[in-house]
Amino acid sequence: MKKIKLKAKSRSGLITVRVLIKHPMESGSRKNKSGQLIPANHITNLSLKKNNRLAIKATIGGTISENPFFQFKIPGIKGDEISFESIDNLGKTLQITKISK
Amino acid sequence: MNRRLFLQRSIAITSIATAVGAGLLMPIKAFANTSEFKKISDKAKEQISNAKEGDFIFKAPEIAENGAMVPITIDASNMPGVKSIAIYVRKNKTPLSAHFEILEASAAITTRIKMAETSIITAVIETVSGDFIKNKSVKVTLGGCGG
Repeated sequence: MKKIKLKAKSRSGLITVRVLIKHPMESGSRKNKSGQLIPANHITNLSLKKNNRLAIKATIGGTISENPFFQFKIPGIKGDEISFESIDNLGKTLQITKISK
Repeated sequence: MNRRLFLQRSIAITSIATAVGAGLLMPIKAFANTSEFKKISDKAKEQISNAKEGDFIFKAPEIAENGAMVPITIDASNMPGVKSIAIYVRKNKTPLSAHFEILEASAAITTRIKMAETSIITAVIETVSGDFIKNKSVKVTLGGCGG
């Protein structure tokens, strides 16, 4: 699975954005078979932009499911540029940009 | 600076250094709970205690077979002046799942969350004219935090 997938479809002035990210989303409170804590490894922040303007900014905790899925709705039309970016607690960033259909 | 003050400060610094060395003041990286996250989480808890019941869409399953993937939909696009949407799972060790700032978007979010056990989930809508909540009880048959 690609690290990050984004679909943006416009209809009646509203763009529905669906994002699927490949990420373990370890909260840091889970234990492995030997009883040791599995270190936290989860997305902490994300942002969604339309034509480079910030539409949504989010703070994400470790209790969002593994391989997180998000759906957003933003006012917009076909041809608008949608970009999504996320960062995790280890500093790894993911980014994707798509033109809305 | 007088001698007493100087000594007090030196002792304080040494104590901290010792504590850090002993691992007592190490940042709890295991939980990745930054102070920013904690502030938002504490604020959400406070907002919930002061909020009125709101009239918006909040979808969550009555029974979640898999506590690791509970689908949540919140749509408060009918409400004016929505500033943020938060998902708060009462019984989770870290109750705040996520906090979305609605800047230039519809107040509509769908995502999937983890639930350790059966719990009430509160959707918190922060608007320019106050905070509104809706509670939903979700029964979990298989906890989603790996035990």
